[in-house]
Amino acid sequence: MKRSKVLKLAVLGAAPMLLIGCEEERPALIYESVQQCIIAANLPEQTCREDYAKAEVAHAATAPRYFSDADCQADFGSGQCQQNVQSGGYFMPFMTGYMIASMMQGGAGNWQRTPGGHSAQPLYRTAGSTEWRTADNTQIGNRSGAVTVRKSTAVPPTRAVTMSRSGFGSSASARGGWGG
Amino acid sequence: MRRIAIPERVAWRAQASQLGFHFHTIDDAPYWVEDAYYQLTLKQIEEDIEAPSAVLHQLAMTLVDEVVKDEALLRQLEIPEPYWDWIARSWHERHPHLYGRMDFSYSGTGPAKLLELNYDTPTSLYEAAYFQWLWLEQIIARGDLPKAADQYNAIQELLIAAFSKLANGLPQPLYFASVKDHLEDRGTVLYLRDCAAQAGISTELIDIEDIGIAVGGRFTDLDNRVITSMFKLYPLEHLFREEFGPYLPDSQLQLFEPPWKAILSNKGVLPMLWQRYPNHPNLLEAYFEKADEPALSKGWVRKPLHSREGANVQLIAPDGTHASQAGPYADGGFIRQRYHALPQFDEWRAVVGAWIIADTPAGLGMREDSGLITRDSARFVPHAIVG
Repeated sequence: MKRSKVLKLAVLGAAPMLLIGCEEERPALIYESVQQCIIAANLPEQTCREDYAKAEVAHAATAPRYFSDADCQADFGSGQCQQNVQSGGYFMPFMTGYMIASMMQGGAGNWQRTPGGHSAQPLYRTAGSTEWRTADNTQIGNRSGAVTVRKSTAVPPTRAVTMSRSGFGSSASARGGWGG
Repeated sequence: MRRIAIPERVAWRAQASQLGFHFHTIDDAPYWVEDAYYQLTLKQIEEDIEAPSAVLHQLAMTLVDEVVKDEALLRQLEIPEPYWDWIARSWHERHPHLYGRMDFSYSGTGPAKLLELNYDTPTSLYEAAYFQWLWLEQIIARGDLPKAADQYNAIQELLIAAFSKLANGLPQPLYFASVKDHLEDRGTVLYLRDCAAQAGISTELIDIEDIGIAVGGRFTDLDNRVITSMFKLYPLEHLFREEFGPYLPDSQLQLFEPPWKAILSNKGVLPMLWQRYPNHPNLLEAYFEKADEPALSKGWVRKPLHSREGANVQLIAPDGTHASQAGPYADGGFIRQRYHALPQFDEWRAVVGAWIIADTPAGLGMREDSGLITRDSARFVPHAIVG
C-alpha cells in the first residue's frame, strides 16, 4: 500500500485530542524552603542552597508582575506581595517554594547525580489554593517532595530584553504570501 | 494518467472547515477541487515519480555539498556573502530539514521532467498530506472507487516520524512562524505544528512580524521569551535581506528549513544540475542568463533565481505562443530552461508535485491551471492509484 493506513489530526481536528499525555515527563523535587530540602535529604545540603539561590534569581526576573499592590494581592492573598524596585517598581508575589527539575529523562533517584543536569525555578501559590504554580502560571499540583512534571515545565523559558520588533516580514507586505 | 470526473462528497466544505482547511476556496475561486481526480497506475507512481525523485534528491544534496565550499557558486546563486559561513556551518553540522517538493511535467508516459525544486517554503502540504488522504478513504467507503484503490501518500506519517526523530535534541518550544493575516500560510504552519505536537514536541505560534531582537542578539517572542528553535514559512532569501537578517548567524536559533536550504530554493540549481548531469532523463536543459543574453527564443522559459508561484516567469512555446506572469521578482538574476509542455486534460494543464519528507520520497499532489504557467491560482485535485 502506498498510503498511510491511519491518519489523525491532534489540534486541528473536530475533536482535538489532549496532548498533555504525549509530552515527555521529567522527575522534579518541590520544597517550600532550603530547610525542607535539607531535611528531605534527596539532595546534598549545598545543592539545596545553590538551587534556592538560583530560583531566587529567576524569581526576580520572571515572577508575575502587577502595576498595583491590590491586583497582586487579589491573586496571591493579603500580605503576599512586595514591590520590587529593581524590576521597575512592579508588585510581585513572594516566592513560596522552589522546584528543582531534571533536564534529562530517566527515573527519579539518578537525575540529581547528573552534574548541571537540572534547573531550579521559583514556585507560587495563589490565594486560597494549595496548588503550586510556576512563574508562567503553569499548575503543577499540590504535592511537595518528589514529583514528575512535563518537560516544558522542567525547563523554564529564558527571557531577554527585547530591543525592537518588526525586523522581519517587510517583504511580505510588498509581495503577499509565500505558497510555492 | 487520466483525469476522471467523479461526484463531490456531500458537504465536504463543512468538513474541511471543521478540520482546519479554511483555504479550500481562495478569493471566491475554488482551490480544492474534487469533481475530478487524477488516476495513475502503481507502475507510473513507482517508476516514473517516486524513484526519479529519490535520485534527484540525492543529486541535489550532493550539489549542496559542493556549493557550500565554493564561493563562485554561492555568488552565482546571489546568496549574500555575510551568510556563507552560517549556511556552510548548518550543512557541515547536518542541521535537519523537514520537507521539499519537486514539481514535474509528466504526462503518464516518458520520463518526468523536473521543472523546479520548492525546498524552502513549499505549500499545498495539508491538502496533499491529509485532506487528499481523507478524500480517498471516503470515496472508497462510498463505493465510487474499488477497495484496492490507493494513493501515493505517506507524507503525514513521515512528517511525524521526522519530528519524532529530531524531538529529543531540539530546544523547545518549537515556534511556528508565518506572515500575519495570511490564511493559507497560517493553515500550513498550523498543520505542521499539529504533526510536531503528535510527535511530542511542545510548540508555539508567532507572526513573522512579531519576532523581536534582544540585547545579546537572541530572537524573542511577544512575551520576551528567547526563541531557540523555529519553523518559518518565509523565504530564507527574504530573511537575509531584511532588517534583522544580520542577527541570524549568531542568534543560536535552530531554523527550519535550515540555512543550507537557501541553496536548494534557488532556481540556479537547475542549470547547476544540468551542467553536472547533462542529458539526465529527468532534467531539462538550463543555463544562467548572461548580461548580454539575446531575447528569449521559441521553446525556452525564463525564470528568476528567486520566485514563487510562477511570478516573473516568461515563456515562448515551440509554436510561438507567448506567456508571462507579472510579479515582484524582477530585481535579481534569471535562468533559462528548455520548454517542456505540461500535459493537458480537458482545459487543464497539470503539474505533478512530488513530496520529499526529510530524505524520503513521500507522496504526490496534483495541481492544475488553465494557463501555460502554473500560478498561485492553480487548483489542487486529488489523485488515486488504480491498477
